[in-house]
Amino acid sequence: MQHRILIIGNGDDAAMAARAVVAVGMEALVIGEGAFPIADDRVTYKDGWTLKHIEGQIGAFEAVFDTSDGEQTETVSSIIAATGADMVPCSLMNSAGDKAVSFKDLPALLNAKEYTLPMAVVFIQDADVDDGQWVSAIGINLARQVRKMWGCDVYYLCRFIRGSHFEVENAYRMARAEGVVFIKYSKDSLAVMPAEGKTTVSFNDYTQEISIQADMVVMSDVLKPQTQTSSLTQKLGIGINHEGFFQYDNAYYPFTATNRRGVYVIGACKGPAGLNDVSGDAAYTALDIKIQLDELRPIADVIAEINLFKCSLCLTCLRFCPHGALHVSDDMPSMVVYDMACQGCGICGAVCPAEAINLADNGKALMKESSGQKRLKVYCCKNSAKKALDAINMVAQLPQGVELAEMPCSGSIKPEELVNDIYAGFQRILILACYSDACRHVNGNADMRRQMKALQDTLADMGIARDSIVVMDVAGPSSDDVLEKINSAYNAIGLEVAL
Amino acid sequence: MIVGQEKPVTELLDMIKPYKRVLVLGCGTCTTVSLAGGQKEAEFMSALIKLNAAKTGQDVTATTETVKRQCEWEFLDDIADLIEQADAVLSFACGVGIQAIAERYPDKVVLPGVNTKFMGMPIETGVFQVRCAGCGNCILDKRGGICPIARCSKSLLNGPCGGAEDGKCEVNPEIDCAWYLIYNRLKAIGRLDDMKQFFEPKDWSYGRDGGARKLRKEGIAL
Ligand code: SF4
Ligand code: SF4
Ligand code: SF4
Ligand code: SF4
Repeated sequence: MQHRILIIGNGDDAAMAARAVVAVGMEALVIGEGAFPIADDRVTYKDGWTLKHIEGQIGAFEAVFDTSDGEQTETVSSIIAATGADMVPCSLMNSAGDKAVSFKDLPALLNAKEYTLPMAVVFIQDADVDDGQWVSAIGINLARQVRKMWGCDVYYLCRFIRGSHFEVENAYRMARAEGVVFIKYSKDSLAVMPAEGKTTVSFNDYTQEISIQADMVVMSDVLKPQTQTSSLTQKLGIGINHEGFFQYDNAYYPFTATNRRGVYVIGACKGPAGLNDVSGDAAYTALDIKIQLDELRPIADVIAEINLFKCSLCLTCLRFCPHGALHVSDDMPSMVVYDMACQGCGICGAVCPAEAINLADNGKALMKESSGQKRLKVYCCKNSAKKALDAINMVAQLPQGVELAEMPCSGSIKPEELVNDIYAGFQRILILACYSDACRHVNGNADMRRQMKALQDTLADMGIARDSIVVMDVAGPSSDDVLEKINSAYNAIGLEVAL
Repeated sequence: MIVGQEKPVTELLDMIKPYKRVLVLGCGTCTTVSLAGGQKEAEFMSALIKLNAAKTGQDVTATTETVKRQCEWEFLDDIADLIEQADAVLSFACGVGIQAIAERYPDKVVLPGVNTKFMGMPIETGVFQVRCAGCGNCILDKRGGICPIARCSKSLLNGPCGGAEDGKCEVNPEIDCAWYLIYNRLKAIGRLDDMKQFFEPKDWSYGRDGGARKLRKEGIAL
């Protein structure tokens, strides 16, 4: 089957994505505003189309567009957002006078025929924010061109050169060999001021105050999210980070995949980090899509099932599912699950007021039964605590009376389960969850904490100590920490002052 | 929908104290959707009842069931056995459902698990707000689709009162002034003239007064 991938955006990033998609034998449907650089019969470009909303799941997303001919619906197998970002001059530009240009504007000057050659050119990066590696890549290459074409003194002021990519590292070495002078300045020491036909750049290089009289200052641009970012992330059902770029600040989404299976983000729309290696990201993304589509299967062992006779269509699960895996059925009065999108986190089951959602055993599996008197029950998130315990194979050595259960996400815990545990005799329940910015299911940890707070309040009203329920965050690799937390929760049983 | 809120657990535990076999009965419609009395809340309450009984050394059993709507006898008839076996039914429906049980099972104790709050809707996840006061004679056509009775703190038919500030109500700055909303919406739909429509004091015989109200659906009612 021929897979068609929707690419949103028509800039360099989108072009990179389209090339990568075509390179692995798929088709691209690209939407944007204005011209698109690629002409290829496997790439269809729709100028002026904007995304209205999407439904469906990987393999068969229904994308609805606003076009000049009214609404259009297209079925696509996967979606890549590559809308780019806005480049704005850094704030020092305001005070720098007319001898200052931005990285973006320099190439036009270099190509201009008539120009009074400058004697000294100062490049500046990291003035407003710590620019990423991509900025260094652009800046260093511009500095080398200036040095080569104009033969003048070239200073390159920066706070950091991130050379983790070999091309940047290479350019940096070449630039130094060609005579570009790199200087590291201390934070907040930089000032750029026009002075008698020149521009004075002053800063502290950690040893002394330095000031350079420049004929031209070239400053890096700052990346800003486009205004449409937030509405587009909502339409796509994916996250936004604290700076307003695409995708969550979450350890599980460092690359191009998002919380919604089959939807990817690449390039500048992810913020500076997205520009580190756009071509690599595009190639990886296209390949990942192809591999998933060629043999499409659920990604979770256990996925949610909804009992249509119990569902009251309250929409609560829909509001909570972090993976866009639920939708209202077209032909039944019930919510239904997209089987390829569900990641089995169980968050929906924990919030459903009708108990209409079932994951086998609510996704919980017993790791160790308690022997003797029941003392401590530990719920281990399978993304962290479970891994940590498996790694050191310590389960057998835990004290008597400890029972361990594995859960797909801490967000899957239902308050009534814990009440039943206390009823069964456990004196304390310990929930070992992932750190909240590392929750595989985005908000599972936060959802669980709210429910647990409400449960503790209720239990306290009944005269049951709040710390009968203890929540702790742990990380996958830290086995010792997990063990220590289990032991301390165990040892503190009975020590707490009631209420 | 009818929006409810679970009563505090201590109040409920106190309420069921005289009874040994309690049926905790959820309602599968309004109180499910308003997250106050569906199967989940009923199961949670049952678990708490059992836990409390174990803690205090009482002999209490709690069973849980949910019906589609407690406010229809047919749905209640489906669980006649369960109701018979219980000493008391702790109902998680709104006041309508609770009374329906009392009526259908004249010798059974029925207890309210939920405080019935208002007719409203979710304005964000887990947050509900009143929209209609059931006045019996709707005037939304003249008030831009925004109910001054339910949403103006003083239920002014002819507003605003003059105390609003920055669009917020003087009674509580967290509440939008209903009349500010009404004005803006009338303006948006080009019906500002409706502001001038004066209403005489409301005839509450359509609404709260005049004894228990009853409605016949002509053409259907026998
Ligand atoms: S289990 Fe998780 S991913 Fe699957 S439908 Fe429920 S909330 Fe969504
Ligand atoms: S939360 Fe439960 S009742 Fe509500 S829509 Fe989802 S499945 Fe249906
Ligand atoms: S009993 Fe009350 S809560 Fe239940 S369906 Fe009827 S009106 Fe709604
Ligand atoms: S005018 Fe009466 S019926 Fe209409 S919304 Fe307001 S209270 Fe309800």
